[in-house]
Amino acid sequence: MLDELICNIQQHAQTDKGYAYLMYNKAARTIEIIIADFGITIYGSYVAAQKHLDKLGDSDADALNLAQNGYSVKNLPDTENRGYGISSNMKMVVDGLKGEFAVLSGNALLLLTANDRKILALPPEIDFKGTMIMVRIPAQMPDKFNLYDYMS
Amino acid sequence: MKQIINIQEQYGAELHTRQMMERLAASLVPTNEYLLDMAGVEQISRSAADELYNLTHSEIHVDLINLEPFVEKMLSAVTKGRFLPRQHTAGDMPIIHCATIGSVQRQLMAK
Repeated sequence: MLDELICNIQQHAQTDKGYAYLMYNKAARTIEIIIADFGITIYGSYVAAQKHLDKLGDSDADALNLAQNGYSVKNLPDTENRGYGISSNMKMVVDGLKGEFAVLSGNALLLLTANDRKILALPPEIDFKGTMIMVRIPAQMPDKFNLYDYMS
Repeated sequence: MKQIINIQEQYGAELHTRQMMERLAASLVPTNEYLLDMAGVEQISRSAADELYNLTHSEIHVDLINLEPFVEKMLSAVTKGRFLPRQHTAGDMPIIHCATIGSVQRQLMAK
């Protein structure tokens, strides 16, 4: 998961720097991960790749909605399933690992937990110039978790 | 004659990045044939496996031998995924327009 999220920065964010933060929260028995960049945002990645512009809309919230629904910015028509990215990671974290997933990109924040799924279009004073992915997973992996269920 | 490359010796027992596999691909000569000996490679990330799939299906003639069980399973999962159409099953998420910081806070506190 970390590899894929970090690769996304390299492949799509158009920046040469990324940031990773990992913490074990002993009290909550959770692992907290943040992967961030100051790149072109997810909206900017769709525009730069000229992908799904017909569905993109005009806001960072719309771009997050596309990303969580599996619309890839990769341009590999013969291997359309390639873009593993955010949507698959979200599924693995929330459905498989019973964790929480959030994405801040530009002017929008996506929140996904077992009980809640929504995208907040943020007020203009909150505008993150890049993308930050925040993940919280229990330190103890659920018994029934099978990595391969989330690999395709 | 196929040239054998010991991947574990050159890249270690854990293959974790696309870049690592891209470096491997860049080091190969398209006119040659290669056997990538995967013995001792115990771990591979999905993205590294994905790039390895790309390599084995590129114009360079590459075969893999001595796959460890985990690596074999990961490559199998990646290969299977290649033949599935992209699914957009998550559906749209509700977009909530927050005009103020206070409304963002309320949304963050809501369960």
